[in-house]
Amino acid sequence: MLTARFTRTRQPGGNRDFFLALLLLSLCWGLAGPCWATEAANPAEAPRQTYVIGTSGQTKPLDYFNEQGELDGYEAAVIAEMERRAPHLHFEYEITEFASLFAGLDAGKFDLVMNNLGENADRRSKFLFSRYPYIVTHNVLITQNTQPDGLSLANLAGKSLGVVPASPQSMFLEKWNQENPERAVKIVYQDSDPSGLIQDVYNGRIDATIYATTYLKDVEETYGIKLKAHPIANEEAIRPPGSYFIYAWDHLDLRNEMDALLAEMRADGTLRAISLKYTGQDDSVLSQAIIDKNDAWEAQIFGPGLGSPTTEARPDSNLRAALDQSQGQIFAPSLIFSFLPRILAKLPITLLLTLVAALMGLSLGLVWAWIKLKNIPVLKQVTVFLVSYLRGTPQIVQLFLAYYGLPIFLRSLNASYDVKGLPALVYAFIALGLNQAAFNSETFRAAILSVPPSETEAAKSLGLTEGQTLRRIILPTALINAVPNLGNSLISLLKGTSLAFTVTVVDIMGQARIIAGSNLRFFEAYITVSLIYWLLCLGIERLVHHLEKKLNVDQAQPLEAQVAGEDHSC
Amino acid sequence: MLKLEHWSKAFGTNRVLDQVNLQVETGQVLTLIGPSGSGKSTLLRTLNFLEPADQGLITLGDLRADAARVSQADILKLRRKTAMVFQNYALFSRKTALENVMEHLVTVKKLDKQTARQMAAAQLDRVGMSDRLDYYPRQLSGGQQQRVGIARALAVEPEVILLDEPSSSLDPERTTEILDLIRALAHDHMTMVLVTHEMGFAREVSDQVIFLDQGKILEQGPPEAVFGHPKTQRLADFLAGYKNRQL
Repeated sequence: MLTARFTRTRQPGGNRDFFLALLLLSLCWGLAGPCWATEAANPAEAPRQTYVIGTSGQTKPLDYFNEQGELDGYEAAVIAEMERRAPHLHFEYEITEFASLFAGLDAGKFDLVMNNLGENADRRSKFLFSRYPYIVTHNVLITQNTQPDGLSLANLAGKSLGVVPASPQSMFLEKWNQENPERAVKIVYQDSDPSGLIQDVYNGRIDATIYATTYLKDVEETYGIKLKAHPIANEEAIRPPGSYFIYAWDHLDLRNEMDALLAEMRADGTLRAISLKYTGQDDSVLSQAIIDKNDAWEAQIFGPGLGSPTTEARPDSNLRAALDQSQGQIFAPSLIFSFLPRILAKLPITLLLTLVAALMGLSLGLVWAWIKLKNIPVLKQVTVFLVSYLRGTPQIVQLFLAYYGLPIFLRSLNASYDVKGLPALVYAFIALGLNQAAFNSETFRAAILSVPPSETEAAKSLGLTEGQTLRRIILPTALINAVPNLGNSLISLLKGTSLAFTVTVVDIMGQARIIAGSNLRFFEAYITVSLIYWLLCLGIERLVHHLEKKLNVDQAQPLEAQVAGEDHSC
Repeated sequence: MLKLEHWSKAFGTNRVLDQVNLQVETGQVLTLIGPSGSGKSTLLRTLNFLEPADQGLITLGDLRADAARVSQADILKLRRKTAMVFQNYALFSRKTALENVMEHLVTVKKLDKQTARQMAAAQLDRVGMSDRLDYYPRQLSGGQQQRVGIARALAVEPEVILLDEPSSSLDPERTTEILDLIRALAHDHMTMVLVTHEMGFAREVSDQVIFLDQGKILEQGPPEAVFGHPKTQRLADFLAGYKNRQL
């Protein structure tokens, strides 16, 4: 039973006050640091301290939510054990998506992050790592079982490999493509948990992926499927084996304390037991190479007299400044402009998504509105159900259902359906277009009802057919009345397209996340893309305003006859 | 020639129109009078099937239809031979006066824009609206809108014009204008069925008057007979109410 509590998922830009409070709290802790140094020396007398751990909770079997809805897994078990051994330590979890972990650490939202995180030069220089890894896993190349043994990247030129942006695997593949352009692989970015990517290899959506053996085993067991693992010769380049707790620099004492507890657990076999429980093998063993490497890092950062609970708390502040300098600033506004061209390169995708979905939404929405108004039997019931469902579920759910569900459905109709046949863009069109149609149908319905019935009667009495009345009398007025609401819808749609990356379509938002992932410049990238969205929405607003003015011709002037004060009638 | 035989309509047990028989000769004016709820407007609106009658036969020129079995095609034919003027004008708010009158010509008669424009301008001139061709309904007074409404009906070149309380929404001055216009149309031998509360005008312009009460024709005949010598107490009481004010 885990004692660490967890808090609900925070969305980016969520509860602002809480964020500010947490930030303030973290700053206070940081400033009050020196006090804790001495107190940590006597853990039994130290007051209870609560720390926030950022994790995605989507990395089985290291961190995931079990059937009881609690955070479970190798990492959670280690933390729980630490709390048991050091009652003054208390941890709370903050669940967020992988790509936001480091941004959160930067911003002080989390005191540490854990998510099967490995080391690379970037991370080592920006953040503080736990002394030794708590788990050592190996990355392997994963393909379908039908593939020959012993494949390597060189064998996979032109094939598609799925990775999560900002992950070591994605950086590894990007580097491979840069250095081996004639043997480049096709990188497919996906905002998935590992099991999603591994499954996609199994069902043929992608040709291969790279992941740790722990994930592979877990997916194979859960779904009863079999894939083939190929050892990677230079796996150190992807990500040196070993996962660490990663801290902000001002949490040295916490890190030292957790290191000490981890060492205890390692010595008395607890860590081994946890590993056996969650991964089925002892992945906690540290090879001499790993020990030496980490000792070297420690020496490099702290000099002789390695960090321990009784030592002076701070690393050399000059060194820290130098580290920051080598990476540029914590926040570099000039990067906003540098990112612009790369993000704008994907603007056509965003515009295409918006345009196609808008057209679908307008045409289908009008049809559905007419069906509802005319009370056509059977069709009306179907429409009512569809509209209710599409308006009542989030766009992201609809995107997932389209992308993952439609192929299954289509395959059930025709077993030979090619999963790779339809590009992901088409699924996005479908999901976003249907969603738009549902909202627009209500707008149109209201607009048509707003046309004075007297005008419809007059049209009928003149001998116009139903169709002529609709086209020449009802729709012109109705559509004009609908313009403001349709404008709103369009703005909503434009922002909704930002979800397209969750189904692998790289629009401007997806590109921003990819860029941020490859160099950790999250804030700058997101600010850039938010500016683009804002400008586009401003454009739409102007267009709608202009359209409204142009169409309201007959309502522009007051009663001229009265104003002129004369009437030359008979 | 317009003829109704056994014309009936009911809402449940409420007989809104009960076996109405009437006939209007070409060039004649028939006026329907009666208390509120007597079915006058309903009767008018069933003539062009804006509201459906349940049973009865309607004859208009060479077109005959049975209300119980009338086809959509026949309804359209009927509507294209009649034209209605509404109490609340019912102009197309997003079209100019000219475009309102042109609508039938362009869409139903399928004339080209040029011809339609000329014909529409002529009708608007006939009702005295030549200087307001490009005005939108919102820019016109009530009386002007009704004149456009009449021009729109005239452009259909109908066999009969149906007028549903055409002056009821107008102030006394404008009312006089519209009634003058309708009188002029009557002098031009336009066949008309008129529903109105303007008793004096009805007496003056009608060839035939029908008094409706609770969906049934109570009295019917030339205006001097109906207005001058009511045969039923109901009509007498109805007219008395008007006499107290003016006739």
